[in-house]
Amino acid sequence: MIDLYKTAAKKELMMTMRNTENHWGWLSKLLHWLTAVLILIQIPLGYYAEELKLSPLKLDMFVWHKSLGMLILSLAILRLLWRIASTVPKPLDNNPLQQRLAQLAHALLYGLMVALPISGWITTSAANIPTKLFWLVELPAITGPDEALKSMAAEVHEVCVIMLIIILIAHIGAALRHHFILRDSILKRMWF
Amino acid sequence: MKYLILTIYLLSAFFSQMSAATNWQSEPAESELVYAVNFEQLPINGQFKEFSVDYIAGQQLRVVVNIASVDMGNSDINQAIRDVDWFDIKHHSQAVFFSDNINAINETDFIAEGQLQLKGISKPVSVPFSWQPTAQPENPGEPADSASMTGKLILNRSDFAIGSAEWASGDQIGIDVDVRFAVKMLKHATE
Repeated sequence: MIDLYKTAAKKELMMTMRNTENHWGWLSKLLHWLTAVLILIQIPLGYYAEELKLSPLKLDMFVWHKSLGMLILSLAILRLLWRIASTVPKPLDNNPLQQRLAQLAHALLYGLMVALPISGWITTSAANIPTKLFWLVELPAITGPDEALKSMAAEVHEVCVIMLIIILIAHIGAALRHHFILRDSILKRMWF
Repeated sequence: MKYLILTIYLLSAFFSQMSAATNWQSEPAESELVYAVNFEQLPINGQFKEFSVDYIAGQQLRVVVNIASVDMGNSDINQAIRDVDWFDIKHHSQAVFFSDNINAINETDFIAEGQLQLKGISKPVSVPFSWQPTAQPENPGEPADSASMTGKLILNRSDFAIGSAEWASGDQIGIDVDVRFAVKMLKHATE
């Protein structure tokens, strides 16, 4: 009997993992909110680490920043693959302009979730600084030491984070607008 | 008496000539003095671009390092390590190792027991090195006129107050510094 429940539960878990035409599966939701939390830690952490004067704390904060960044990159890749493997629910909004804007914002968010970690990775590699993610796994260098490349990648990183902040404000603002003003179920649809 | 003094003089001159050790000096263009230290648990490398080695075979070794020539391949780090917390280059631009106690382990391996003065602190240090003649003598029986001197040792940076209190734990920047050298030595005329 218990086995039967277990099998049913397992089946249910598998069923609800995938996205459907109208619903986000739990995997997409989990990845979305996990990424959200990480990004909301990551942005202030990056600015904080950058502002610190050279100290053991600064070096540790940058190890955290790089570790979270690589985690966000992995999750972004996973999400992109999952979008391909699973399906994406239809938009709830009937306004074509808003749909377009939402699509653009999502594309930019994905682009930045890839561009930010990679520009950071290039910065640290070109700066000749080795990195052990979470003090556990060595991150290989993707370029050799190169001061000019380092400055360029750092600048790209900075521009990207400003873009990310702007798009996040739009993304969160739109979600809240849908929830509180338009009173539709877009935000609820992403919750569990 | 006169003859005795003359004899002693001549004999001593003869023996001093016999035992006159060979003088060697480093060739900067083909020498390197590098080190590695852990940075958040992974090694980063540094080098001293300017240093000189003077060696009187089997007797005396003197190494002078221009600390200001340090390079760790990153402009921020290069700037930071010049600070008072680290090398304090403003006040201590030179490090000197001196040994007049060279012990041979075998034909090619030696240990120089001496003092290293670094950042104004002098501590006893043993520098093991291996010595290999690299140029063949032109005529049989002539000693080689160039040699390679290589070795490695581990220095403890806290022994020399390199890295101030907040860095003392060694968690971010390791305490042990892995020093390596490969020096081309040229034979110089004896006096």
